[in-house]
Amino acid sequence: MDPTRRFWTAASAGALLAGLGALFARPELIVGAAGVGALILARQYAFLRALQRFDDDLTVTVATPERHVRRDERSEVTLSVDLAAGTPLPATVTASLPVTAGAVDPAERTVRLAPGDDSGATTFAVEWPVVGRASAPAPTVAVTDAFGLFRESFRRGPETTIQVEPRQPRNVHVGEGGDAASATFGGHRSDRYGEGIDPAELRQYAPGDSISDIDWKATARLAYPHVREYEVETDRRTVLVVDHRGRLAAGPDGETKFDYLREVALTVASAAERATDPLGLYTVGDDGLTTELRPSTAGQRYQDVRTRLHDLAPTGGAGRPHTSARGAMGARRAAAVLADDDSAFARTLRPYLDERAGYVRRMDDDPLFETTRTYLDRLGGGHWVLLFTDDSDRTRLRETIRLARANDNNVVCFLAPSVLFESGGLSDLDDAYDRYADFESFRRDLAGMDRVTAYEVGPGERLSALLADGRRERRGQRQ
Amino acid sequence: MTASADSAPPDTASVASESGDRVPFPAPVVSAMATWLAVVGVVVGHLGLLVASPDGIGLVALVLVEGTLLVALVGVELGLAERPPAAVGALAVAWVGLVGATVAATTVWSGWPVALGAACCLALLSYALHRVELVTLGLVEDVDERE
Repeated sequence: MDPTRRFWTAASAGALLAGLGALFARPELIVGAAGVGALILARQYAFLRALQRFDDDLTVTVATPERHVRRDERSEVTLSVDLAAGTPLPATVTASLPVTAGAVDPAERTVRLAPGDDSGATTFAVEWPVVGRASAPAPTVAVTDAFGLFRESFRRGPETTIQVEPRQPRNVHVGEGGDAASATFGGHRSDRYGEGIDPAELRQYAPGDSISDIDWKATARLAYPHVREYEVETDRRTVLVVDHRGRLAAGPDGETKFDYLREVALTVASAAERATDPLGLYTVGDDGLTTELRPSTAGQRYQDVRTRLHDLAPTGGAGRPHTSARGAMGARRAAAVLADDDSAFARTLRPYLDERAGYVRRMDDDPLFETTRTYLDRLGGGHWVLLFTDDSDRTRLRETIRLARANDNNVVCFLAPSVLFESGGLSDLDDAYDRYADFESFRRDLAGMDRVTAYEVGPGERLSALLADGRRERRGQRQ
Repeated sequence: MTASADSAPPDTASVASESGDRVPFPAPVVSAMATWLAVVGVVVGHLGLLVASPDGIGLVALVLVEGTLLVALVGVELGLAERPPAAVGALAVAWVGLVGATVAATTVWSGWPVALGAACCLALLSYALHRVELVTLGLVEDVDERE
């Protein structure tokens, strides 16, 4: 119970009377001071009783439609206050916010109750700019006594916890026809015996074996010539060809086609590093090749590939449906305008106009196809070419894959099905299922090619929802 | 009755809570003028006694004056208090107890000891009510931590 300025003024008046009474030896003034004290004490007691009744009747609830939100999303919070009987005191109930939440005007998140009110509610929107677990303390109830001599604040109601998740792909699905693929990358066994370092097995000498392969210690121990075989080591030269043209920006922020493909590419890069496979990276923007890192096992190469993948973003292009970011051409035009300008304004802006995805080589034709034709051919044969793109231009993609598997290369194609990333793509589930079936047919067609494997990459939940509806539909048709 | 943000009077003050949030306190129902009516009445009434009787008044007259003031204050409380019977009861008990004890004390002791004694009694009673409120609302630990 906090005294207010009115309280201290009243108490000072009483103290003045008491002081004067003592000073001038007038007992009636001291009695008057006691009267002022009695008045204050009676009002304090009345406030206490009213506060007890108010607290007994009070119910505070905080409702949020969802407990999980994405970073920078806004969620609505409803604060409701109910009293079994009308409130005896004027009161406010203010919803508390976690430190990590965006600012909301206290007036918007406060319910005000005048004496006699028995309920109140307010709804406000909160933005969540910080990823993590955000806990909001219970709402704060503030009351003032009828005469304004005392006030009190305390917390009532539930604590609220919101999980703020980053905008990045979740539940990345890599598989075939809706079934998740088992790990394709990592330490790869050849299942062939021959030259190598790791011992595989000991077998009896057979005509045709080289004498140098005889394990003399085993031969002495077993009294018959034995040959020790080693597991043949493989050296999988891996080339990542990552498409980051504008059309791969389709999908919600942080969960675009490109974001999903990048997650897979990063996983492959890590697996290649663990297996010390030579790793290269070619990235393709709308106007041509943007990165050329030839396969290498140099320690820095793996880091370079990962850094470059993290830095990549879909380039501006015709296929970029919802991004306003400046493309390389636009950046250069703007930079050219500012090039001769030596003002402070131009100097400040210039670094922002340096397009990070500068092109290694511009191409007029389909840049993915051109990159495959021009650069992969130079690498020679026996590579594992991992292609990350979508299914928008199927004819050109098929040609690109045919070209990539030349020179005895193996091709693994990771495709982001467009149907899983379109805004409102799943609003008509039947149509979406048909389009997914069409994609699956295309993927199988690719996977049927010699030395080609094709996987779909996308959000697991969306794909599961789509397939579940398709199965339901088929069951319905059978019945 | 249902409250809303727009129907209430503007807040008079806001203070920072433990979490650093600004807590808007509601305005008191009774106006400042009405609040001071009773206090000023008591103060002016007793100062008036000095003017009316420069040589002091007797015990019986003092009791009569205090009784009259109590009746006047009860009238004010009946007009302003949210629950008049409880407020009047509390006022009557506090007035009779404190004022009666002070009048009795002035017959035995001189000015300063009585004034200090009355102040101490008031402070103790007020603090006792404060602690009862903390216990009732479950705020004892919070307040002790702050202190």
